[in-house]
Amino acid sequence: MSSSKRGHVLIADSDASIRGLLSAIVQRLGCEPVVAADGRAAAELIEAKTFAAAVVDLHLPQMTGMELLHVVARTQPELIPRTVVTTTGRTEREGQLKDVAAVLRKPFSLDDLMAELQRCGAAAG
Amino acid sequence: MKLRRADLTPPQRAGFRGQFTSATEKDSRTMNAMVGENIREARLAQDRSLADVAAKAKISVATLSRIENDKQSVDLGLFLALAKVLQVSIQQLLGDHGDHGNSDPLARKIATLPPKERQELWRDLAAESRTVRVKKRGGERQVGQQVEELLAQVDFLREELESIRKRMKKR
Repeated sequence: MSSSKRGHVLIADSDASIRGLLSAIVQRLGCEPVVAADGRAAAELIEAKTFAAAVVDLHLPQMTGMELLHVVARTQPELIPRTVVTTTGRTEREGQLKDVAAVLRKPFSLDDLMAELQRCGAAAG
Repeated sequence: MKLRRADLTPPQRAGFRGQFTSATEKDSRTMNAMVGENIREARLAQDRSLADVAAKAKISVATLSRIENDKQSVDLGLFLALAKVLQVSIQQLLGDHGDHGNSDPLARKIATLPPKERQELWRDLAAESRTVRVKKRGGERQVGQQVEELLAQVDFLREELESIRKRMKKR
């Protein structure tokens, strides 16, 4: 898939190095990464822009990843099945994540993330 | 503007090789395999042992060896740790040469030189290299380094020829 066809991918993670790595992976897949360091900034982006896919960490400052997913469901419901959720360990609210593309527990491998993002891209295309 | 070999630090000279496995070259392979290969190439370009890099990354030699040989997957944390220890960018380890924003500033500067100035630079480098060889003749290590340097030049020239060939094909 070419970069212009695949569109923008939202990356919401509070860790700058993780954002950098995820951005590089997204670019490698031919998409344009759009990063947010906290949930509120990510929500503002969601409300302003259409995304082809998203990578959302559950542990975000300002607004949690779960709250952000509610914003996604309200404003861009078609993005939910193209959202990869990342988390540390198991989450109590796993049941609420059944509609997302995948839940990756840190530390996940680069191949796992690539596979899920490619799946999201394929679904979007 | 003239840039000379003496202006380059060893990692900068190594940067000319474009030694990292490119994403576009090996898209069919898994990310882990490509990253493993790029980690090994970055380590060898710096003449560093498995033990040295593994110790700095706080992993065992066996783990690093398995990663380099695509026998073990690389997780995000370990990937970032290895990039830091090897002092290479995330893009380089991912084999992405497309993002010039993170490449070596001197390499970027050289890449933007007009062809004539680049010709002069390569001639200067070759002349200086000959002088250094005459002064420091002998020693297996030096020969090895000269071979590495020549291979880097061959890599660069191969890319240049490929780019010219593509441009000619388009016309």
